[in-house]
Amino acid sequence: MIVGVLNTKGGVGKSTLALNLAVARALAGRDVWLIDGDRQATAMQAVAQRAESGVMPALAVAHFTDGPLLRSQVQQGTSKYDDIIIDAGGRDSTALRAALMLADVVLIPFQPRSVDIWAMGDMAELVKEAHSMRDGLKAFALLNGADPRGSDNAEAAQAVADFEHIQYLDAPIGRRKALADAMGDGLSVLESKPKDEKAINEINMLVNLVFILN
Amino acid sequence: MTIKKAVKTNQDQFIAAAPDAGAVGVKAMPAKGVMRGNKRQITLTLSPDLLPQIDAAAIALGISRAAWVSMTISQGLKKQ
Repeated sequence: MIVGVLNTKGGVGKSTLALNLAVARALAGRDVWLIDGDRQATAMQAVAQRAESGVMPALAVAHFTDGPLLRSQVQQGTSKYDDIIIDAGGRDSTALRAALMLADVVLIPFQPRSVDIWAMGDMAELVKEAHSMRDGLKAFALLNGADPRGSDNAEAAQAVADFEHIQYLDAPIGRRKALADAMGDGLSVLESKPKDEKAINEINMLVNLVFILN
Repeated sequence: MTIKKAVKTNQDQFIAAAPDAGAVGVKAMPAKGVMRGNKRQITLTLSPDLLPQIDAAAIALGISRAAWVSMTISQGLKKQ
């Protein structure tokens, strides 16, 4: 399965989520290829950190910022890997658009903030355009950095429900330090210590919804 | 009865329409001119009244015309 973790807006937690999904699948025994399509190469750096520490399972990672190259390489790798996770965006880019052409499932992380909802409009336009060109694309908005309390989460979920072709995925990921700390070591929260059970449950729920139910 | 199918936009066009596609296009252009040492020699056409001004500016800095043109272009590109 090809999963794109995409958003034209930066700072929504794309790379962290992409790494967590990739590790979760690798831990489940799948052959995983993580593609970093972001010029900042955050996911790539995290995996480099992971490799340096000798953490297993090792992850295959590649960095393609050129959309046409990303597309041709992923098309070639589709038969060799069980799962391919593409992390792209931070702005509208050829890599992000290529991922929209390739992915079976697109996850659009967003935070429960007005600016993120506004930015979702740009993504909705691109998803709509992608739908006119290809079949079988499922796009989900995923609340990331969800607040521990208050009404902002529910309001944000309600706001994205208005976008055509984007469904709200009810598997919010909380704003947890464990995620950021683990990312710095190139780890998923499924591996990092001390264990944050809440973070682990949230990532497991997301993985189940994305890979098992789709 | 003929039913018109919806015209599908080319996927390549969709990808190439991203704002960062331009830079990729420039990189992909075939290089012109010939290599002379570390430099690439090209033919440049200028208006006749520009040339003496360039030469005067180069002389004022004590550098060659080619060095002045390279320097000025580099500065211009940095400002973009």
